[in-house]
Amino acid sequence: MDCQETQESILDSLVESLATERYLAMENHLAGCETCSSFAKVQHTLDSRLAAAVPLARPSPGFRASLRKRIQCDPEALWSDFLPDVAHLVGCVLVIALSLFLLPFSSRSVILAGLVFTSGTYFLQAALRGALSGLS
Amino acid sequence: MDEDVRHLLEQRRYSQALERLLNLYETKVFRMALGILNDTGRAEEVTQDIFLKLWQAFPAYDGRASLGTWLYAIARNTCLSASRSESYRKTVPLDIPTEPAAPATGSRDIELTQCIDRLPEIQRQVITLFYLQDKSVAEVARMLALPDGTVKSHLHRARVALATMMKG
Repeated sequence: MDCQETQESILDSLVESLATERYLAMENHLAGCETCSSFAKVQHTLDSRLAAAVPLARPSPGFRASLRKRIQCDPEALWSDFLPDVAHLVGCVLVIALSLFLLPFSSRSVILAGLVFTSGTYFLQAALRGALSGLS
Repeated sequence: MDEDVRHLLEQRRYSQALERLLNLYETKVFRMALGILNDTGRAEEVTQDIFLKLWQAFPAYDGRASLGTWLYAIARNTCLSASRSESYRKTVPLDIPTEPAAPATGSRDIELTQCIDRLPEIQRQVITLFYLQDKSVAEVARMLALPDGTVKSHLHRARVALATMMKG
């Protein structure tokens, strides 16, 4: 192993563990080369200084509360979750209300049929949405 | 863990999915923003922007990319546009009092910090992120969308440059 390869190995050793053979060749070279020993010493010192100097900062304690607040203020987020369900429910309520006036059946039967229709179509549209998101 | 979050997203339980992702990635993304922006306050604001974008993008997540890759792509683009823009939007002050980010545990090594600031941008980002992310080349490579080998080569060059600067 020459000086260039040794210095490359020294730098690699600071990032990952070296294969035994490469490690031994590096050590062997270092034992007899002052330039590379000095390079290794400088790099190890630098590594320790970098590890100590780079701040292991974390977000402030209020980070999540502040983020939640922003999410609550985001109208897009509020709607995107519930819009299909709300639209479905409002549509069904309107259809039931109209049917109560227009159909010649008792209110009870119309409401019952409306509830069955609402739950049936809810599951149908949920299944359809699931299938579509699976496809995309 | 990614599978749990995917499952929550499929069920459209977005709040829980966000909470899980915050537990997993909040600190990593914050440190990534810090590594790129080099400013704690700004890094926190941009981290909030990233998670807000993520929240807005939940319905569009198609499961093709891994969640980490997807999140890092959003984070990288947001950090890069923030670092490009000279004036940035102040985001935190709503009615919650602004608290400073948790104090850094690293000691202040002014000489070294100045030398790091003089490195080319990509080398500065790579070396800072490497130490911020627990010396993981793979994590830094994922964050910056670079091959592992490229990250290592930037690290090597940065170390050699730092050693030279500190000698001189």
